[in-house]
Amino acid sequence: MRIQVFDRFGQIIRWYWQMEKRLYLRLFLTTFGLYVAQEVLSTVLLELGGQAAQGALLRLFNDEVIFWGMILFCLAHIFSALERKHTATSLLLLPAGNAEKFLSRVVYATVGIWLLVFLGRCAANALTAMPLLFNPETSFGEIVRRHVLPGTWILASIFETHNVGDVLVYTFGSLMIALWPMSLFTLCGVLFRRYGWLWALFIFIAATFILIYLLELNEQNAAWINAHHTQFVWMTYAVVVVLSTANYALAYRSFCRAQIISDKMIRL
Amino acid sequence: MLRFNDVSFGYKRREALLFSHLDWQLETGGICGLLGPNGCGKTTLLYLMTGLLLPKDGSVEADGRDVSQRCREVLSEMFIVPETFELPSETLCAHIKIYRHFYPCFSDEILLRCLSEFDLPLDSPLDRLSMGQQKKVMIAFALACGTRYLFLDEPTNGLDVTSKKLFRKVMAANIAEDRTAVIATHQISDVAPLLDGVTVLGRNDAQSTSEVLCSSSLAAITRRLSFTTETYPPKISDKRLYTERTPFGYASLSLRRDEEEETPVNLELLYNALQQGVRIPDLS
Repeated sequence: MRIQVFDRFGQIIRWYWQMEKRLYLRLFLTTFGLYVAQEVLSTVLLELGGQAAQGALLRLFNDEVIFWGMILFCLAHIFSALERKHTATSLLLLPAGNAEKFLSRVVYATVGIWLLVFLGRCAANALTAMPLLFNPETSFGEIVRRHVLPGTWILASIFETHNVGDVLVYTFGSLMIALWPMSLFTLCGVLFRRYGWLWALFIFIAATFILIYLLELNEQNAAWINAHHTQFVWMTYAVVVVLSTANYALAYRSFCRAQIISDKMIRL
Repeated sequence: MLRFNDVSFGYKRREALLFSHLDWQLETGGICGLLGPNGCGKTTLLYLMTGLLLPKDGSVEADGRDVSQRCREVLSEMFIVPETFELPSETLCAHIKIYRHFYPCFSDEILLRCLSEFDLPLDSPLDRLSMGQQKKVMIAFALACGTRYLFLDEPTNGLDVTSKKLFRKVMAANIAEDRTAVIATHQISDVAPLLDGVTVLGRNDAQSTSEVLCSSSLAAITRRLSFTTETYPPKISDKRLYTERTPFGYASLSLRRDEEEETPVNLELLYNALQQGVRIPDLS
């Protein structure tokens, strides 16, 4: 029974890949293009305006912005298949349970997009690291490790200076921080028939401003947070988990109620 | 059995409903024609049957299961060939590889037989085929899936005369007795020889909704009605329900008496009579 369930999961993921391989190729090329553009622009600005100009660019258009921008944008298009009649028909009538289709999609979109963005970054790095191949003092392995694979040397240095427990806590915290925006963009991607990403971005920015006000600008809150830092972190994680679960549950409900034609702005 | 229980459906919230409190059922087995004028909701009815559209009120059941739940067991027993569709840029072989796991009764034998009848290759990219060829591929694939319910929306659109004939041949040869096919069409003559039963939809102008005017097997229609063609205008008679002029004379529809011989069903005449407001007891 369990084997059948996993087998079906695999089949659904294969089905998604077959339906959307062109889309994934486009995403890979977009990520690649963005990273190359960032590299070229920052080099040009360094030459023309010095480090100040380059710094200004990298504050707005840095690796994290591209990485999270791509991931959240893709999550907001997680069920883009529902936007077109023939793809919606294929998806909704695919003989698998709603939960199987939804979960495999969320897993596939999340892991798949992370992988795509990572590969796009590697490809862009490889392109910009090409001139190093002509430098006899740098070995090929060194080029790949330090210039092509993003973050591996940073990770290595983290493990040199921190113990594994700290790194795991840090990773867990980062995932917790990422969980709510990911769930929000997934929800808006399913819930809204059009411009899901725009709605998600609007809600995300509004929520961020409210949060900043509550945490930083309100002195009473800030003082309490400083005094109870650990409790605050765990409380935040709990709130994030509850809100994210609610987002995913609503996204699932909205997927179950999806129809091929509807005049409603939201799928509920 | 497919059953509509008190189903109401409309596309837009503020506009009139397309179907209001519709009760209708379709027995399992055979090929049923779903006929009706443009815009009366043939495609909508197919989409409601498959769970692609959800009723505002009431429920649609397939073998006792609510289709709006879209559970795997129900979906693996349904296949729809829409009027228009896009096929992916892969070969039929690759397409089958992906889909066959989802349909437990998938039959290579039926697929190859249908493809050979339609003279279609297995290895050319699907998106490079002509519209008619794509439709034939979809019909062959749909039959090979071996689902309990097969829905075809205007299947003869885009097919030439020879292909229409082949379509009828392929359908008749490859639909098992325990399977049900529903063909929604307004081209009655294209599918008439195939049908075991018929459901005719029409507009109810008083309520601005669509309704089922007749739903019956052809055997029951043959027992109940008599279809005749005469050279001269028939005399006014109580038993004649409807008469229309044709190139061959005057075609009439009347209630059949027990002692009268059975006549072949003239579906176009029945359809026209129903659309003109003739109501036949025991056939709706």
